[in-house]
Amino acid sequence: MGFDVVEGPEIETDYFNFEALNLHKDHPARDEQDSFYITHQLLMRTQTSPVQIRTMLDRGEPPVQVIAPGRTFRRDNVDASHSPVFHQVEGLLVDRHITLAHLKAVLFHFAREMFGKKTKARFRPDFFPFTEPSVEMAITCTVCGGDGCSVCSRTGWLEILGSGVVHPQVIRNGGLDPDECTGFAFGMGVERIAMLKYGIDDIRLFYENDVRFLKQF
Amino acid sequence: MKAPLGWLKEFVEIDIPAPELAERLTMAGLEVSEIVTERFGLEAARVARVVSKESHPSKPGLFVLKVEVDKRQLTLAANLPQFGKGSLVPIACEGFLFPDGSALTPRKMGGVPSEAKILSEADMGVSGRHDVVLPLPTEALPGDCIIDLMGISEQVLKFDLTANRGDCLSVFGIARETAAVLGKPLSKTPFDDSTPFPTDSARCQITIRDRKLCPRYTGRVLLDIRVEQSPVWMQRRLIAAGMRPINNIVDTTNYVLLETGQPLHAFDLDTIEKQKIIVRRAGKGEIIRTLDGEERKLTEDMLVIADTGRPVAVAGVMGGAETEVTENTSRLLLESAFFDPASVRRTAGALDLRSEASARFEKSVDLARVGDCSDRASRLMKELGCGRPVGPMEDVFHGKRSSKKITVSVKKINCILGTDLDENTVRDTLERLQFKVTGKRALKIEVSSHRPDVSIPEDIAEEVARIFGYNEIPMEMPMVRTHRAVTAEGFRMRSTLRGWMSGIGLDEAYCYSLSNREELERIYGGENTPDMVPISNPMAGFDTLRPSLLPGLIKAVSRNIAHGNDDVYLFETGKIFSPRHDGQPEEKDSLAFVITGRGWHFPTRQAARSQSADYSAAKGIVEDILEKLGCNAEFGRSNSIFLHPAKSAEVIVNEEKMAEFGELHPSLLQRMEIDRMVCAGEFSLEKMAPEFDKEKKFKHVSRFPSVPRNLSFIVSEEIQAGEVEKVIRKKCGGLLESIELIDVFRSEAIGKGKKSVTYSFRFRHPERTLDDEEIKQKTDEIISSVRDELGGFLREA
Repeated sequence: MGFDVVEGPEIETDYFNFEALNLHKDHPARDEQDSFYITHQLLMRTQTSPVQIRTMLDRGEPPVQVIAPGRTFRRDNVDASHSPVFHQVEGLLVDRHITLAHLKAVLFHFAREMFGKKTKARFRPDFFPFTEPSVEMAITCTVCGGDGCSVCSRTGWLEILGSGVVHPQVIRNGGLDPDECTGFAFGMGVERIAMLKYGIDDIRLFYENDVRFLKQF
Repeated sequence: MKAPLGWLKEFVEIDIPAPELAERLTMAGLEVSEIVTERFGLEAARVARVVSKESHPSKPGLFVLKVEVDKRQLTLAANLPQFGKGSLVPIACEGFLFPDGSALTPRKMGGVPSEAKILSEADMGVSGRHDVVLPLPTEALPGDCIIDLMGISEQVLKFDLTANRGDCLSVFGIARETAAVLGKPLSKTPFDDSTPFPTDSARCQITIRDRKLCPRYTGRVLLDIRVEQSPVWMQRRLIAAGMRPINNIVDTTNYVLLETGQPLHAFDLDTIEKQKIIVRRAGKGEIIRTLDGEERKLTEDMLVIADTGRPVAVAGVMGGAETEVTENTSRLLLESAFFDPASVRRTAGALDLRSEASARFEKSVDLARVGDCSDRASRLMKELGCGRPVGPMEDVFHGKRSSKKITVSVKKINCILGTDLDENTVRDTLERLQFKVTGKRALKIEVSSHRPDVSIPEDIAEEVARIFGYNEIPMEMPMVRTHRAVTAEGFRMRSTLRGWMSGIGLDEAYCYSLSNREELERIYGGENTPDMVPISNPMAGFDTLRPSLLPGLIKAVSRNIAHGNDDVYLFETGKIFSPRHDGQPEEKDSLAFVITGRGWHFPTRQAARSQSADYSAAKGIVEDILEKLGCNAEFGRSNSIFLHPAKSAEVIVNEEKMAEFGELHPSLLQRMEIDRMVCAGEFSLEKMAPEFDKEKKFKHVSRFPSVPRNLSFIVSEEIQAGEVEKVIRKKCGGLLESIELIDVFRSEAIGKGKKSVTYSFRFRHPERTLDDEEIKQKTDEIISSVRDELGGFLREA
């Protein structure tokens, strides 16, 4: 669809990882327990969203149309659905008249390409400090096709990504003028999507590197 | 947040079934994670069918009944003759809680097991009669839960709320949202009654010393306090909403907390010194014993409620033990206040003391309703007969009294959403949410105080969108102007390399970027460990950033061998880290591979001669990559601590080390408890990058014939094959088209400390055919150079 690939550092500053994304010092998502810190100001990035800010600052003017894949780190107990190291893909489109309707269309198209042409998408409100309105997108469950099963908690839907219209403060922090341009952003966990698509039941398999697993893909 | 459906229905008409309500609220942004049926611990009251009836063996007048429920048979004794085989009977099973709090446990009565009891009206709290069996409705079926039949069980919606919706941490808050979503009016609010209370001389005095941390504090006095059990209806609502009933005073404060979202606290007024409340920061070293009996050390950034002497509560978090309401309390002080959210969050975190109260203060309570909620509680206490509220209420209010106003045009809202909503739709939607709207086209919206999360036009757009329905918003592909591409060079290079390595036949691995220092030191062998970047808050053994990709890959090989996988060929591209003395650690891109096994059969030049993943195979992989890069490389001695000193090499391009590879060092294999040969290699992508982007230039392909020759030399062991090659290349210049080491041989005849190396050459001139004389001459020159420079001798056939 015309998105360029950009990258950012794995060691991020507190500013780019949190502050610039509208996550202030007392925000619950800032709990020390959840991030690996190197120094007081440097941490292993917890999301690929910082690349949004870096790219906007780098580009200097709209349009900015990028995706930013990369490693992310969370200080979580390691189990079948949590890994301290995982990957995300971030997307950002900022231009003069970008709307929520555009976000829906782009994500819907992505869902169809990724999961099959019969896939349906459901959008519902959510909350992220760096988007407003914020959207959670779900797709028809890849396991039961929407009938309801244990994987989708009998709802028939699987939530796969968070997104929204970029918060004006974040646009400002990116050095752009929110009165001149608007944008949307989205982020998804790569391992999670792979696990849903292929039916893999344990995230740790991606990092154990057993050749019997690797050879399947 | 748990909201019992019956309680919600008090405030708004809900005429759809619970699952549909849950779906609609979820799609409006209030996610319902579960609908549970609350049975108040009375699940063990069931309808059973009598299977057999006999007279009691030893007690006259008693019958032994066997009843069946849930495919289980239970035995019970009763003196009721009316039940025979086939009758349906209400029973209490093991675990049933009687109104006095005791639980039914199986026992023996006169030698006969008594596993259940026939329920009387008194057992279910229907009447006081123990001798009347609870009547069953005609539609009762075996296995039914009595409580469901009686309509006592409650459906409860469990919400998974987003962090910005503190206003929904109450039943009324959810009812407000439900009204907006369903498009219905609120049938009532907790604040409808505003009758003032009679005045009295009993007063309290309030002083706020820190206005920022506490912009509003109210205190109401209640007299004639009578502490007892709260009524069953209130207990049941508290249980359904997830709180434990304690006594009428505490329960009322909790009830109003759940209903309105405003936490309240009751002090015994006569334990407050001079009946003076001072809201201030804690002093250095101050201590308080909280309600749970624990002693808490306070710090100066914590806000406390104090009297003229000492702290009596940790503001917004928990009350103190010395001032709590007891059965001796005769006068009560009811606190209702607004505390700074960030301060409550920090304090609750520092003391590790999170409560239903702190959870709500953290998300901000409704500043304008602080007093009204207190009144609601006072009225309720009066109704229950546990206290007599007197006025006036002390209300110290320093905060902003005016409500937030946002101006936004309908056009802007449509611009953000990509919709074409007309003004009436927008206005209606906002009014359903209790926002006051004035103006035309440029709407002036007054946001009520229960929504501190709404402050900019984008927040208004989101409110409109979520009530209108996200799924109703159209989809439209954006038109973006073409623009200068912003590409990540590193990404391109790594993608290409991954393709090359996969093409050679290796599997891509992903290893953790975080490692364990102890483990790394073991792999590196102690003092050879390079400087590494530590994690300041490690977890689960992850305390260091990886300085190289090899340790992770070596561990992966070890794991594979342990799982019985003998042929392991892995590569990884990723970042490695090293500390910089001036601050931010350095991140570098790296490519590395490890191979082990007998099944190596990937044709890569030298490796074509290997049957197993050995040094030649590793060299073959490296040469393959170098060839694809089209770069001129030299091989030199490697001093990597990972690698076997005699079976390893460095790759030098433009006088810099770009890679190294070889067999893993035997002592490393020993430390890792690996019992077989493993080869590995690592490339620096930083050094590779210039070669990657280098423009290729065509080299003329000569049409003239080439002349092959083979020569064997005997050299001492220390001479590397690469050195001999270097000497030969230097001598031949452009005439040497290719040279390849085809054999290395050792024997008694050759001698100890020596080896025979055989090279296969091809000579070719770009513009003419070479003649035998020239070839002989060149060959002689080669033999001389090797002798003079390296002390090697031609080996006679």
